[in-house]
Amino acid sequence: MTKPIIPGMGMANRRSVLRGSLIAAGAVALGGGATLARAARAPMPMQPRVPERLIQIQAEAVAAAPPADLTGYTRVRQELVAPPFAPVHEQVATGGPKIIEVYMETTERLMTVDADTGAEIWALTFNGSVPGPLIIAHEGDYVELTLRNPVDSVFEHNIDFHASTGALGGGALTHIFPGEEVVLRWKATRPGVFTYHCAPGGEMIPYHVCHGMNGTMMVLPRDGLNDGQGNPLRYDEIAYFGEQDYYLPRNEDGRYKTYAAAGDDYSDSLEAMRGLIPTHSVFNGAVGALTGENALRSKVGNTVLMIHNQANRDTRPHLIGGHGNFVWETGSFNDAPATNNETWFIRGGSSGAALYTFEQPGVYAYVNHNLIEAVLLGATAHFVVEGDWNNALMEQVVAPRTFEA
Amino acid sequence: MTAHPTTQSRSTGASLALGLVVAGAIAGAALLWPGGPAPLPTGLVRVSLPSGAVLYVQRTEVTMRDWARCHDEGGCSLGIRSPRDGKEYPATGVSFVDAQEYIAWINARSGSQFRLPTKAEWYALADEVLPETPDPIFTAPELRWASAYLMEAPGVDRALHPTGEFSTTSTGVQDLDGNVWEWTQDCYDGDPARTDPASCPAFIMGGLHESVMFYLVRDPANGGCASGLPPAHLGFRLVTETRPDGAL
Repeated sequence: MTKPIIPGMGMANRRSVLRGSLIAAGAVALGGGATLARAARAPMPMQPRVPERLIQIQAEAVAAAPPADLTGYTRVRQELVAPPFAPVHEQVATGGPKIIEVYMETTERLMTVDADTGAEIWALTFNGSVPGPLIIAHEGDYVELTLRNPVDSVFEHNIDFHASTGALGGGALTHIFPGEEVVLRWKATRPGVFTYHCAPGGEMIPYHVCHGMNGTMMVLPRDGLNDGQGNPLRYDEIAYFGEQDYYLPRNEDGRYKTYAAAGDDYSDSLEAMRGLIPTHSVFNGAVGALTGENALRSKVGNTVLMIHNQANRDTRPHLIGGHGNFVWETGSFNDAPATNNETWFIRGGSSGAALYTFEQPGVYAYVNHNLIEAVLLGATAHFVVEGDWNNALMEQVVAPRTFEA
Repeated sequence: MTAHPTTQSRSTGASLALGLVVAGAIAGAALLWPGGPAPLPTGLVRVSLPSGAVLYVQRTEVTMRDWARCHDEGGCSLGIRSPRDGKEYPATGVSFVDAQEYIAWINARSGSQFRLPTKAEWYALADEVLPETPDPIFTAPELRWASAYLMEAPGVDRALHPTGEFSTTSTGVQDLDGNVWEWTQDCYDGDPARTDPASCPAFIMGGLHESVMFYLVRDPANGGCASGLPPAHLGFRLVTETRPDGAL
């Protein structure tokens, strides 16, 4: 068997040994899936995904570069939290630039997608959640990520930060197999909200992204957000939405297939993804993950920054009963925000942000305003807002009553 | 989910529902659905209601197996796919119209007079197994539209369970506190005087929390701007005043 070449895996002897055993294990794990595949085409030959010569060029360039000058930087640790929440952070940076240390694990776990139908997925995650946690830095800071792949994982993982510069967003420098960890440091040179995602190479890229492995990196201007005319904008809370399109394989009777372990769905899943029509499009990993008892809470007068990540597919958030007072649709905080939007557009492969101050109490629905996706595919979240009703804004003048024909 | 249809859609829908019922009943009476002995709903339980009335109630919701027979014989147009695990499940994903097709078929086939329970009957049956109603989250009159929003999970998961996995009442009726909401024959209408089911846009469903469903809905999707958590599954069970053969 010809040994496949995997980017970033060409140098260390220990890795080569490890790779051999893992590829063998992978072949066993995936063999069942391959024989079950209905596809008539021949299996894809194992080929190098990046020519060996180019890997060598990158490795030589990395080895030849002088070390970064980190004088004047202070190290701080950011404890990441699960979505829809944000880690503790400053809106306006105090002190000098920081090296922000964050830690993430590539966790493979079985998650319920829709309890009503029994739909579930062996999700591939950063830190066990879909989306991965929100990471926050200021422009000019470094992010220093320790990424660890647990021993009991099935897959190789890595991370591509759209906010970073070089080496495929860090993807080429962060390939880790089960039992490995890697540390990557990159400078946040552009303020905005940006997608990050796993991108191990080839068809593994959409497979990992469509199994939950994506999230948002927010880089704030050092003096905080502003309206583009020099007026500061501040928020009381952050609501962090990751919209995930899933393509779940079904049995002949129409029910969703279940699998015993991560990766068992591999060939079925790629087949379903080729159709491009998701079976689910959900916020925070599951239908109803942010409704009912899990609804977001706020109160009249509070300002919320709504961050929306979609690493794969276009979407169009809308806050039913409210607005986007200030909207950074493309995610760049260097651009002046649009104002008073009804619906805004999030391009697949990006994050965007919108700021709103609640003016009325009650229930608000935050949806993908392709309403088929909101209602039938699951892309709905709710805010439950406390406060006093303002009749000057809206009033039911006549309650529903019968009328004479 | 209480969309308020226009007067026009109301009458159109009603005539559709009524038309299906009538057509089913006539066809059933004329042809007597050839093939096999007349089926009766299984497991009927005799219940004395607080009103003093006696009712024969199906112990369980109509099952997928029951439904498959109606579908195979042409009485029920909707086909329902069953999980292939050998277990019996309630027939779900059925609208009010679907339920009426089943009733027309079973009555024509068996010569019985089954119907859906009224709301009062359903809640009288279920009272002892239902949880206490939680307090509304908004009490201001202007927020009545949002006051039913359910912040508390109703105590059960939303996956469809095999028949009989939830509570049994002292009279032997099962699954009333499950996660299948059951159609009643009570119309939900702004005008209390207008109760004719043939002109009714929506019906009250019996379940963990009272719900109103437009008569054509089969799956109350858990999403969108519905302010609350909708029922997980829609099904039904039958009742009759007339003691059928085989009743306990």
